[in-house]
Parts: sequence; C-alpha cells; structure tokens
Amino acid sequence: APQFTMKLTTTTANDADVEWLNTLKQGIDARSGGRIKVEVYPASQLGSAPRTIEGVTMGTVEVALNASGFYEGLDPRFGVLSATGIFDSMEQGNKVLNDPEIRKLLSTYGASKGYEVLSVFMHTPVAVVTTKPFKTLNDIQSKKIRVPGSPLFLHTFKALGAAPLSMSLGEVLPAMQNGTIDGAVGGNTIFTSLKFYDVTKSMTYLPSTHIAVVAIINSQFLKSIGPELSAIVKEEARKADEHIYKWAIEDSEKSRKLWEQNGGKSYTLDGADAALFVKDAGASAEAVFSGNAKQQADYKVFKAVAEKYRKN
Amino acid sequence: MSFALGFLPVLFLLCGFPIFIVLIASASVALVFFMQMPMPVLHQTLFGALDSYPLLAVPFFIYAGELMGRGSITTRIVDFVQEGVGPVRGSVGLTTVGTSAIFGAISGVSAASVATIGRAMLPALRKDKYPEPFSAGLITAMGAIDVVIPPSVPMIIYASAAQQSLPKLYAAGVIPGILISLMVAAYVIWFASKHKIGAERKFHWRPFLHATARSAWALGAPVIILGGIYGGIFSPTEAAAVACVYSMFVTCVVFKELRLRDVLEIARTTALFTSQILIIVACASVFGWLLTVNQVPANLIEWINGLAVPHWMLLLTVNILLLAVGCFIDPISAILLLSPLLVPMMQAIGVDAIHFGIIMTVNLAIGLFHPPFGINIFVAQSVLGLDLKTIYRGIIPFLLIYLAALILITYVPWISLGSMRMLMG
Amino acid sequence: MVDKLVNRVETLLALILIGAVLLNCVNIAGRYFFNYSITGADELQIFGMIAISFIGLFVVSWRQRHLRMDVLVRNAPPWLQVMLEVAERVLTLAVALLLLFVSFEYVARMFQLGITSENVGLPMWIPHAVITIGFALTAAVTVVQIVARCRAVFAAGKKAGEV
Ligand code: NA
Ligand code: NA
Repeated sequence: APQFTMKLTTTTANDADVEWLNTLKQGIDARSGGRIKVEVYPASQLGSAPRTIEGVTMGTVEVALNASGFYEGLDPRFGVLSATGIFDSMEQGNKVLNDPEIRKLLSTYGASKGYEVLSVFMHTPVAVVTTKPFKTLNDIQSKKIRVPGSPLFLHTFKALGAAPLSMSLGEVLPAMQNGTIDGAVGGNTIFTSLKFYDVTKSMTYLPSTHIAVVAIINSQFLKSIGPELSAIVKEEARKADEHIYKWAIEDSEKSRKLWEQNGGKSYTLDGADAALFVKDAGASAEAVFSGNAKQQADYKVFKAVAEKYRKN
Repeated sequence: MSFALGFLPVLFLLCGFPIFIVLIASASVALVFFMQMPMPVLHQTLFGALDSYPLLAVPFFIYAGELMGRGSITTRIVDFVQEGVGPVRGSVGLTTVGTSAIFGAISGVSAASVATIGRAMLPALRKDKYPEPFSAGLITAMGAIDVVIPPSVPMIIYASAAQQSLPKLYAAGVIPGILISLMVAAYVIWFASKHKIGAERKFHWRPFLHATARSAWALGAPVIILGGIYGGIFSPTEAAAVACVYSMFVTCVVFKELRLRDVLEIARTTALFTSQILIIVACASVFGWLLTVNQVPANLIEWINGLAVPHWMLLLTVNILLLAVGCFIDPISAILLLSPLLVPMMQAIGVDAIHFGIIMTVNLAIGLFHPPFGINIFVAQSVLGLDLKTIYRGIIPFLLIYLAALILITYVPWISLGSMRMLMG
Repeated sequence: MVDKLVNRVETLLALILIGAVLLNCVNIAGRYFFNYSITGADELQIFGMIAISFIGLFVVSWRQRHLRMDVLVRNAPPWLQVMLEVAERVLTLAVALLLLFVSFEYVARMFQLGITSENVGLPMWIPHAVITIGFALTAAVTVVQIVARCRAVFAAGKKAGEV
C-alpha cells in the first residue's frame, strides 16, 4: 500500500498545466515503486487558485500549479514573472527560466513560508480578445478591458489609455457578448478552449509578454517522504519541464490555428506601436516594482538574464 | 469512511439537527477518525465555497425582494397581474410560471429566484386560495428554471470545466426552459380547473388601467434590469445590486413608504437569511471536497463505465447518478467533479457535449428542489417562512413534471441542439 | 446582555450588506459613465458576504433559526425530543470548538505568511478571521444556552422536590 498521498492541483483543463501534472504523476508512479500515490485534480476540483496555493502552505494539498500572477499575494516577487520585456518568446523564456542564476533565485522563494518552487515554465503568449479589432494602440483608447488581478496589468493598460477592470472569469464572456466590456487579457489557449470565437473574432498578441506558470510544493511533505523520494519528485519535475517546453509551444500554436479555423483573426502590433507598448509596459513595471526593494532587485536579475538569451 | 460520509449524515438529518451541523459534523468525524488529512482543509473549504462573485446575487436579490415586499412594489405588481389576466383559470399560478421564466432571464442563481418570486407571488397565490403545498411546490420548483434559462451560473461552470462554448450552451437552454415552463403551466391550468380556483373575477378596463398606472414604477424594476443586462450596462450579478437600489429609491423616495430605518431593518433580516442559507452552501462544499479526495465520483463513474449496457441505458444510468448526486451536492461542485469524467464518456457514445451540458443542468436543477438537500427548499423555508412538510408535499407533482421533461430532453437531442442552431444561426 | 450584543452584531452585518450594494452600484456607474473601475470592489463585496454568513451564524444560533429537516422529530415522544435537543447542543458546541481551534490556527498561519488578496492587497488573515470569530461567538452562545437550559431543569427539579 502507498505510504504517502500526493494531491496535484490546477484550475485549468486540457492545457500545459494538466499535461505537466500528468507527466509528473507518470514519472513518480514509475520510480517510487508504489510508495507515493499521486492524484491529479484539474479544473478547480479542489478549489480556486488562491485557495489551493494557501492549501500548499497549510499542507492540505501537496502541489499547486497556476499562472505566476496568482502567487503575488504569497510573495510579491512572483510579480516579476508577468512583466513585459523579459520573455520575448516561449523558447527564449524557457531558456531564461532554466538559467542557473534564475533557478537559484527562485529556489530562495518560500524558504520561510513552508513551500518550495518545484517548477516554472512558459505557458502561453498573452493576447487580448476584443469586440472590435485591436491593431494599433489607438484602438484600445478608453476601452473597458478585463485584466488579470495583477497591479502590473492594471498599471500598464491604464498607462496605454484603456480602462482596465477586474471581473470574475466566468462573467467575462457573457459581458463581452452584451457589450458590458470591450475586451479581455489572457493566455491565448484559454480563449480558444473556452471558445471565445463564438463571441468575437479579434485576438491581438501582445509583444514580449507571456504567461509563466509556477508549481509549488509543500516543504513538510518533501521532508516527510525522505531524501530518496524527495529527490525522485524533484528529478521527475525537471523531466516534466523538459517534456512541457515543446508541448506548450505546440499547444499554443494549435490554439492559434484553431482560432483562425473558427473564423478568428490574429493580430500583432506593428513595429512602432509594439516598441511603444514594450516601453510603456516597461515603465509600468519600473513604477510598480519601485515600491518594493526585493521586487526591484529580482526584476533587475531577470532583465539581465533575459538579455543574455536575446539573439541580436 | 462510509460510516462518516454515508451513515452519519442520514442519522443526523433524521434527528432533525441543523443542516449545517449535519454536514460539518459528519465531515469532521471523517477527518478526525478516518483520514490522514490535515484539519486546515475544513477552514480552507468553508472560506473557498463562499469566495465566489456570482454568489453575491443571493443576498442582493433577497434584499431586493424584501424591500419590494415590505413596500408596496410587490402588491402593486400582483394587482396589475390579477386585473390583467381576468377570468382565466389558474391565472395567478400561470403568472408565477411566467415571472419565474422572466426572472430566469435576469438571474443565474436559482436561490435568488425563489426568494424574489416567492416574495412577490406567494401573497397573490394565497389571496386566490391556492392550497399552500401547491404554492410552495410551484415556487420552489419554478425557481429551478433559473439555471436552465440563460444566464446560468451552473452553465458557466460547465462551459469552463468541459471546455464548451458558453453562448452555445446558453442558446441550447432556451427551448428546454420554455418546454419545462409550458409543462408546468399545463399542470397549473389542470389543477386550477379541477379545484375551481380563481375564475370569479371578470376583466374590466377601468380597474386594469388603474392598476397599470399604480404599478408603473414597480414594473420599472424588471424593465431596467433586463434592459441593463442585455444592453451591456451591467452583469447579471450586478443586476441584483441595481435591483436593491432601485427598490430603495422607489419605496423611500417615490412612494415614501419606507424610511431609512426600515431599509436598515430589512437589511438585518436579509443578513440573517443570507447566513442561514450560505452556511449550508459552505458546509456542503466541505462534504464535496471529502467525497472528491476519497475518489467517490471517480469510482462511481468507473463502475458505470464497466456496466457495458446499451447507450440508452447508459444515458439513463448517468441521469440517475446525476439526480442522486444533485440531492446531496450543490450543482457547482457536482459539475466540477463530474463533467471532466462524464463528458468524454458521453462523447464516446455520440452524445453532443452541448446537449449533455443541458442534460446535466436540468438534472442539477432538479437537485435544487429535490429533498433533502435542495437549496431552494431551504430558501423557501427561511425567506418565505414555509413549513418544511408543506414544501415536501407540494414538490412531488412538480418533481414528476421535471422528470418527464428530463426524459424528453435526454432522448430528443433536437430540443437542445435545435434551440442552439436556431439562436446561434 | 447577549440579546444586546446579538442586535449590535446584526446591525453591523446589515451595514456591511448595504455597503456592498452601494459599492457595487458605484462601480457600475464609474465604469459606465467615467470609464473608471474601483480596483477590488468585487473582492470587498465577497469578503462582506463571507462575514455576513459566518458571523451571522452566531445570530442564527442565538435566535435558534437554523434550517433543519424536523418533519419526523416534531411528532417524536417528548423524552426523545429532550434527548435530541441535548445531543444537538453538545454536538454544536463540539463542532464550534473544533472549528474555532482549526480556524484560529489557519488565520494565525495566514498572518505569519503575510498573504495578501489579489486585487486590493488586503492581508488575507482579516477576511479569514470572520470564520474564527463566527465559531467563537457560536461556541459562546451555545454554552450560554446549555447553562440556561441546565438551570431551568435544575429549578424545575427543585420545585418538584419541594412539593
Ligand atoms: Na437564468
Ligand atoms: Na441538491
């Protein structure tokens, strides 16, 4: 009989998060000799992102995997991962996250809070779906746009002249349909999997902006399973990372195609507007992080490492 | 484990203990004596269950309903309806069916519908001498139509858990919603004719026009709310708050019936109702959490999968499972737990995922007023002050109607899919 | 004395409800007319609803207004009804104390971790603490009710003894 039970949770379904968790489960199943029973709970079955993250720190669930933005309440430093201008592409992003300096930095998070960062990987490019096409920055002036609850997104979209607001995710689609809001920001795969193309056709990819997801694990659990099993868990997490890099890129490409097959249009901002966006979003990041010395320091590290992996 | 999660709750329930104690005490016993689960999960899940934006519609709509009922908004609407429908048998019952359906297009939370429609229609039903169990059953059962007619919170959850299109799901719910309403309406007419209810009154223009004039402000409430939602000014949850402020304005400023003190007093009553109802929602969610981590739903579905029965039987079995689950778990948890497991299974036998979403919604709608744990029953008990025995007795015929509708909706996919195609083009 | 406290708490919860309604409407007006949204308005309303539900539990307990399925019990013989009442009170007290304990630990941990809410940055131990407060107050009124009941029984017994 298994000595330990390990509950892995996420709020999404059929995406890179679930694929990563399932890969981890297979890896542990194969190597732990049945000593650990791994259970995967996708689609918020054990609660929302904030609750399962708390759950890891309390030991009610062992692993939570969510978009980095959800961890800002736990440690504001996770906010750095949402900043525009660090992750230019999924490929470069994964290289940045795999860099020894970044690995070392992330391993210090959570030390005093009862959790460890088990993995961070690139999930999707960030896009904006809008009821009217968003091709230039002028198109979103005064538009009501739902943004994820991160101070960074709020600041950036305000700076760009839009009217950002927070809204519970379930209400976003009907609200766009009725015209209560004009658009929403999120990973491109979420919009295709929730079939937003039934309501709007326009999706604009934001330059140099991506969603990184973070998996945390309860430290007490790692301790309780002993050094051998805990090494297996960590090694299998890295193997799942290696697997997910390619998988997530293909998944977001698949989503882009699916969007277009359903009559959707994909836009990107042109050179001048893209540069302006990156500049404004960078200024927002500087402004938001200026209030917190740790955030500011980590932001600097991330920016420097990101530069290392830029081609030109 | 089955002692703590199966036997104990039934025992506590039969002992007449408060529902929240039934749920949380059994869950605690399971945690303390049978599981190696950290206790903080109790707190975490209690908080998590209520940390939900759409749930705000419950206290807000109860408040709006109470304000309308304490002022004269409700009676004005009732007078308007009674003068308007004239000598039709069962007219007030039919009005209850109609207003429930319209309210369904406003709200996505069934408990809100029972509170608001019940507050408005129960006095009128009593005035027309409908038997109390009939009224109780009609109001609690028709409240469930709210989740079948869009907007619908359970459909939002299904769309995201099963990765289906919410607009398509909404469109697919319209004809099933109308079908259920018509079936209930037919029963109301038959019942009223049999018991000779409400036919003495004749239609006269003068009192009708008078009632219309008197009710203009009152009728403004549904107009503003529907217009606001579909005109893109506010969301369905926000509509509940708008309804409160509109009712405050009309009763305090226009009709000058209530003073600020009354507004506060009504808020006190509403807070009490809210607590009575939501504490049960929170405790039920702890129970659901425990069932999930004990793999109860997964095992049930594995068992069904192993039955190897014809497709129509499989559909029937799944319906029975959903009904059984709906009796004990709230729709939102039920959808989160079951749809990832059931949708692939249904698609494998050729059932459209949108069609199945409607089957699931109607099943769980029935669970909303199905004894013992139907949340609509608790709302009728707390907000309308109805006796539990009366409610249970009154529900039976409506339960049968819903079941008949469920069979039609399950085996005639056109009802859902045709509705979707017609409305989505 | 308890009555007075219950009344005050009930008024506080009523004010929270009215505050949430107004905040919601101000947010709609802001968004529609001024293109301005109050960050975290929804979060604050939800926390208000949670406070109403859990602190309200104490009001509901004191007024004995819990929802229950008492169809069967109402026709039970008096001795059984008394026994069930005793069992219910004891069980309620046990559950309230357990949750008080569990919830206090949870809140203390939240405080220690310094977790803040997603939109307004409110320390999360504050909204979580309403559960602790709710069960503490519920445990307290249950004790008061048990004591009052014991006294009544004792007084009745004494009277019977004197006769
Ligand atoms: Na509805
Ligand atoms: Na139910």
